[in-house]
This record gives sequence, C-alpha cells and structure tokens, in this order.
Amino acid sequence: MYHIDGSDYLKEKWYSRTISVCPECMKRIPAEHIEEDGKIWMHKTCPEHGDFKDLISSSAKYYKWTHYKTDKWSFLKNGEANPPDCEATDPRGCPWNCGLCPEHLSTCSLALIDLTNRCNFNCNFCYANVSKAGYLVEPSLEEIDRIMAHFRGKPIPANAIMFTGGEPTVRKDFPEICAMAKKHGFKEVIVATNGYGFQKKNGGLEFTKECYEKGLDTLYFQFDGINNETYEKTRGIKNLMPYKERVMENCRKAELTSIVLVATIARGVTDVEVGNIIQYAIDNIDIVRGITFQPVSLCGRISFEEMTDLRITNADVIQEIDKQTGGTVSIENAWYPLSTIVELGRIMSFLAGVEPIEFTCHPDCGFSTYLVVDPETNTMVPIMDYFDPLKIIDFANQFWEKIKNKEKEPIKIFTDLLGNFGDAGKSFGETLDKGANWLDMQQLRTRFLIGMLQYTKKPGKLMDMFTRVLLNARWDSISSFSHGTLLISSMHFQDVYNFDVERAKRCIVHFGIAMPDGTVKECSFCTMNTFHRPQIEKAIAKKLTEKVRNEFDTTTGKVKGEIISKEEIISEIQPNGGIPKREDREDEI
Amino acid sequence: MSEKSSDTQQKFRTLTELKPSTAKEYQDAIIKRVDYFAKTGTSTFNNTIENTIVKGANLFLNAKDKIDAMLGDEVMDKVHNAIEKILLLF
Repeated sequence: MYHIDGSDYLKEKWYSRTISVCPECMKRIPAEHIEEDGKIWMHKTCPEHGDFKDLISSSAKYYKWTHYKTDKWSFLKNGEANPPDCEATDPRGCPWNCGLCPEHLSTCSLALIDLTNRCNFNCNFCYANVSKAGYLVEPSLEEIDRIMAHFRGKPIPANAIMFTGGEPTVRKDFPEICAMAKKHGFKEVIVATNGYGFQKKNGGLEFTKECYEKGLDTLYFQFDGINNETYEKTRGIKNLMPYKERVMENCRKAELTSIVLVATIARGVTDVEVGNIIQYAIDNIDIVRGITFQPVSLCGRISFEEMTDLRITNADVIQEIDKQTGGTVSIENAWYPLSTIVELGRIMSFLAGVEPIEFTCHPDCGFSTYLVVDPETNTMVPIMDYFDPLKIIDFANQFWEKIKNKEKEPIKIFTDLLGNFGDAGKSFGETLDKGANWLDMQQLRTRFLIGMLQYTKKPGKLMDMFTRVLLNARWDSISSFSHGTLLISSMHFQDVYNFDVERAKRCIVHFGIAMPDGTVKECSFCTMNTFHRPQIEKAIAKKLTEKVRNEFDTTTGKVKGEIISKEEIISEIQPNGGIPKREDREDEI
Repeated sequence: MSEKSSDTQQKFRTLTELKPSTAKEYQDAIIKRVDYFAKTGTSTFNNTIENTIVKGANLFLNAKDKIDAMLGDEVMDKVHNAIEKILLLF
C-alpha cells in the first residue's frame, strides 16, 4: 500500500478521538475511532441512550494511508476560510451553529441550490419529495439570484454551482437559471439530475441545446448501473435504461460533452454495477468526464444489525472497483484523498492570478483517481502511472510554504526607496515594483514548472494539457485536460451514526438557502441533510397546490400492493428505541 | 465485453480489454475540446508564447524520459533531490 507498507505506522493499531452526536437525542458526545479486525469503527456513548458503534472504514490499512502525515504535510488540511456569516451563539457548538459559523475551516468549493422538491421520480430513500413533505420548497428567481450573489460575493468566491432538488429540470425556467449562474461568474454550472428534461422524446434535444447555450456545463447524472433490474430496485421504476440512454444521446447531439455518472452504492444492490458503470463511461468517453460513487447514507433510526447489513464505506467501494476492474484501478496505489491537491491548487491559482479552488475537505469524505488510456499500449491505467505522486505532493507543499506570503506582501522596495521624492518618485517606484513583481512571478513559474515536470513521466498530448494547467490554471486548460481522462471518485456523506464534527467543519459543499428575512443561510451539505433540513424547509415552505401534487410523483412504476424488497424495507425509517447498551449486546459486536 | 449471467439475467462487463480505437477516442476528445476553445479566439490555445513553452516542455519531458532511464533509480533520485533543493532556494 503506497509507501507505508512495512512501516511502524502501519503496524500500530489506529486510535483517535473526535466529537459526534447521539443518534437518538442529537446531543454532542465524544467518539473514538478504533481499529478492530482490520477495520476502523466509531464507538460513542450517550449518557442517556447508551452505546453506539458504526463502521467508518472496512480497510484499516487504507484508512491509515489517508491519514498519513509527514513532518512536511498531511492530508488533513484547514482551508483559507471566508469570514463567518454568523456568530456561534448556540452553546451546543458544531453542527448547531450552521450559517456558516466561525468554527468552519473550509471555504465553499461547490455551491448548491435546491431548485425544487418536486420530482418525476418517487425514490423512497430521498429526502426531497413534495408529496411526502406535503409542502413545496421552490425558491423564486429573485431568491436564486440572491443566493448566487452570496456565494460569488465572498473574498474567496465559489467557482462551481450545482442545482439540486427534487429534479431541477421540472422547472420551466431552468435554462434561465443556468444563464443567471454564468452572469454571476460561476465557471462551472452543474445540474444534479435523473435526466428528466433532457430525455423527453418531444423537446428533450431542444431543451438540452437551450440549457447548454445558456450556460449549463455538466450533468451530474443519476446512473445506478446498466441493468433495468438495478433501477427497479433503487428507483422502483421499470425499464429505465432507455430513459438514461436518451439523455446520453441528446447530450451527444447537443454537444454537451460533460457528464458525470453518479451512482448511489448500496450493498448487494448497486455495488455489483461499479465495473459496468466504469466500462460504460469508457465506451462513452466523448461525453462522459467522470464517475462519482456515493455510498448510501442511512436516514432515520436503525438497529445495529441493520447497520452492519447496510453500511458501505468508501473503502468498500474502492475494493469493489479493484475487484471488478481486474486490479486495473487498484486499492493499493490508485487512490488519494481529495485534499491531496490543495497546495498544488493554491500555487497554480496564485501564479496565474485566478480564483483559488480549495478542496480542503476531510480525508474521510472522499477519494479520487483519474483513469487514462495509455496511447502506446491502449490500456487503461490510473494517472499515477504518469506521475510520481508523492514527490509532487512533497514538492508542492514545500513550494507553497516558501511562497504563500508573497501574495500578502508583494515587493515594495522601489516604492519605499523613491517614496520620499514626491508623487513623481512614488509613481516611478510603483512602476519599478510592478516590473520587479512581474519578474519575480516569472521566475517562480519557471521553478514550479521545472519542479513538477521532473516528477512527470510519459510525454504526450495529455501531459501537454497538464503543462498548460500548471502554467495558467485556466478553465480551458483544465477542461481540455479532463477530456482526456476519466475522473473516478467516491464521496461518502455523513449521517447521525458516523457523524464527525471534524468532517463537518471542513465541508466544502455548501447549500445556500434564501431565508424569509432576506438573508442567505449557508449550510454544509451533511449538516443540512442530517440536522437542519426540516426546520429550514418549514421556514421557507410554500403552499402545495393540487395542481403541483398531480403534476409530479407519478412515475414510480410500482404496481399498487406490490411486495417491496428487503432493501426497501430496511431503508425505510424504522424507530426501534435505539441500540442497547454495550453490556447488553456482547453477542452483536 | 458483455455477458449475461444465467442466475440473474443481469449484464456484467469487465475491463479485460479495450476497443483498439479507445486511445484514439481519448486523444480526439482532447483535440476536439482544444479546437472548441481555440475557436473562441481568446483561449490560452491561441497564445503563441504559451504554445512555445508547452512545446519546450514536451521536448524536455522526452529528453528527461531517456535520461532517467539511463541514470537508473538511485542516481535519478539524487539528481532530482539536488534539483529540488535548488528550486526551493529562496
């Protein structure tokens, strides 16, 4: 496993402490991460509701790799956070002060706006469902504009925005909202969609073209597999694959060439599809840019047995990928936490003078790798074959340490020297300093480029793009680079069982909500969905009319009275009084 | 590439082999994207200085690839460390 094989660090049993919540009363309680049987478990005890145990990683070895640190760097980062939006007034602390509060350690890399809780599907595990909720959550264009201004108005603005729901494309004004996002300066406009608007037999292609022309860049496309049977289990809809294929075809025809396939991974249901999904992406490489696997998060109260039956971690996903790709994408050397590239990104944005993108999320949140086709052998390989990744990480960290203060303290030698010779002297000094700063920047760029290229292998078109990314960090370079690769990532959202305050504080994916008092509330993804959503939605809910109720939630494909699967039953909320205290359940552990 | 499992009737595909044209399709995807941006006129792909630097870097990488192979791992590590020390002199 990477460079930690045989090390004392790997041999030692993992132990760490953090803060979590009681799944019953939601009070903050201490938690421990403990290595047992080659896995990492979270243990926590609520004085009132007893002990709780949950699986954090099915591979202790991999977990240790993602928490590895040297004296020079660590995968656990603190971001260059924006100023807080609110005070931490709730004495319970994180996660109860979201807004964002001063405890937050990361800035927002991906802004989210729930455009609606209406949907043409009726997935039983989804939090956004107008019929189940009994009210409509749908911000007006003015409110959406306000949220966008909030994210773009910060000292470190969000570069990317994703529209979520419900199904965002049920809104007739969706193309207009894409245009609005571009007007606000978002570089990447994304929609999380099941494909509704894009797949329509009548008008789907025109809709796709219109969205693309108005500014939509990427579809974050719900894609659970290539088998109709899989969708029947996950979505309760029969024969869904042709629907998914129509979305792909319409995007291809409209030249919308950026689709990310998104699969929710549930044990025994969709985990068998990971190899299929990767192969499908490769076969459609002209329009597919990446795949995101999302291990299912658990809602409601469930027993320890149900927990162990359902819980699937990032490590499970990448082990499954390893298995189903015949070792091509190996758990042993292909995967890195998202936070790996933080310093690299900071250097590039500083040298190129562009807005930084900060992936300072917690190492437990997500892992990723790029797959590329080696043109010489026509084989699929992880991009790590093109680089010496650890050397690059090490160099980038050291380089950033050396230059990070230059932004705050540019060269002012000549201004200081000539400042005493009146306005003309000061002006001349400033001009000379500008020149000195420009020269300084060029020598830094040259050093950085040489430093990176010396750890780069296999020249070719892809590496030409990589050189451009290093040189200018511009969107056209990054986008062209991504067209020659396939990004695969695994992102594990939190729930009340595995909740970790350290993860929540570093979240980089933030919802923006237009509140009735005219303000915008910014809330990190997992805290919104785990803790705040009911109260917030209650505050912003609109009346659900019969017309809206009848218009959607009709495509379940389920026959009335049909027997539902075990998976569906387990994923329903089942109050059971919590988990008994540890001494009462020795046999379960 | 694709097969049917008799138990489940579900399709399972494996990454055992790629189409002979897959590498070309990837390269074409990059070229098509570069063309798309180049047509806008304001792209980095229209910048003569940058294009020259990229060509230079490509030559550098080609040469480095051969030199690294000649040096062997141990010497190469020493050379890289020496270069890194120079690059990190501030």
